[in-house]
Amino acid sequence: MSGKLFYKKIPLEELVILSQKSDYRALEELIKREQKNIFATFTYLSKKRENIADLTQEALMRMARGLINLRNPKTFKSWLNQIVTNLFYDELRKSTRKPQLVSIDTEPSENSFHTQIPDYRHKPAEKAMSLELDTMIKNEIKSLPEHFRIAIILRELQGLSYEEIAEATHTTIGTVKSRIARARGKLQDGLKNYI
Amino acid sequence: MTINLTCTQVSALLSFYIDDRLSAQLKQFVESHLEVCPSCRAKFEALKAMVSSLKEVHEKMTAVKLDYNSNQIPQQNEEFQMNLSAYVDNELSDEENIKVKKYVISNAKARQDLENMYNLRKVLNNSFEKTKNEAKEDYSKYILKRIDIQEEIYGSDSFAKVVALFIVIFTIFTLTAVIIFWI
Repeated sequence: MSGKLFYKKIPLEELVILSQKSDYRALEELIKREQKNIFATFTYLSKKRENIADLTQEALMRMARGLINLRNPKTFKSWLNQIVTNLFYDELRKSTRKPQLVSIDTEPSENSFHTQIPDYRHKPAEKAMSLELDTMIKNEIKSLPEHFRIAIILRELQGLSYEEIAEATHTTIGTVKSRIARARGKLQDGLKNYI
Repeated sequence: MTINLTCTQVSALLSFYIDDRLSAQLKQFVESHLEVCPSCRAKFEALKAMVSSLKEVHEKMTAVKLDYNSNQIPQQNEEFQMNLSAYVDNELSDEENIKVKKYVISNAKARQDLENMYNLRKVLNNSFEKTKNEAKEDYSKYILKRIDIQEEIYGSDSFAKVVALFIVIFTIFTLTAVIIFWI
């Protein structure tokens, strides 16, 4: 079995242990496994599109550097999400401090002459519909209050338990329960024409 | 007239005896057997304990049902919505779980609410999966490189510390030598 394939088949927990023992190939595989998930998480959490890649890199960097201090490899997932949550709150603090800037490289407005070439393959109508729904979902999630947003993302995208979410967001299980329920209520309201 | 019942006969009659469904005479025969037979008495005690605990659970479930029914429009009740959401996440206690399950079974509107919640979850999960697959960038090499660079810097840093310490010791040693020579 080639080396790469070997690391691909190793369960997450073992990969964490190997990475802690300075096995760089294990760490590389660990990063590869987690990066898509972290990228997706920040796609829903961060209001600024241009920050997503930076936040993902920073989270992975903190993961790679801090892994040695993780005592229980079983708690890797919730530990990693704690990093993600902290970065999200850091970004929030930064964005509230900075004044809103208007970029000259803004996306083309409705009045500009950018044309789009229609793609008639792969059922364009359905694709457009799912694309529209996807955009709607992202917008609805991003319009949720921050605490609701992080709670629902950690639950639905990361699959954390209420207890783990409470720990990551420094709050109680009761508060997490209420935040998730209210986030769902708001999302249902916002997406009622689509679901 | 007293008939002495056998243990097998009493065993067969025990559950009827506990439910108080025996005739007065038969009840008396069972009672007199239980007084003299310790093994049948033990069986009776065990069965009685089991039945009473079942009754307790049943009463609890009925009370739970009444609890939700006493609320006129529980769907609009924030607590119910909160429990429904936690129910979907499997985060409720056993008792609360039964409460929600029973209510959902008996109420069409609550059933619709639950279905909507599952639908929302499905739609969100589809969106998440799609977004995950859209992430094409591979950061692994970059991160490993950055860690390597940092370790190099850290390494040179500790080397610098050793050099600095050596210089300090050397200076102290020279100064002491100069002072001694001076004296």
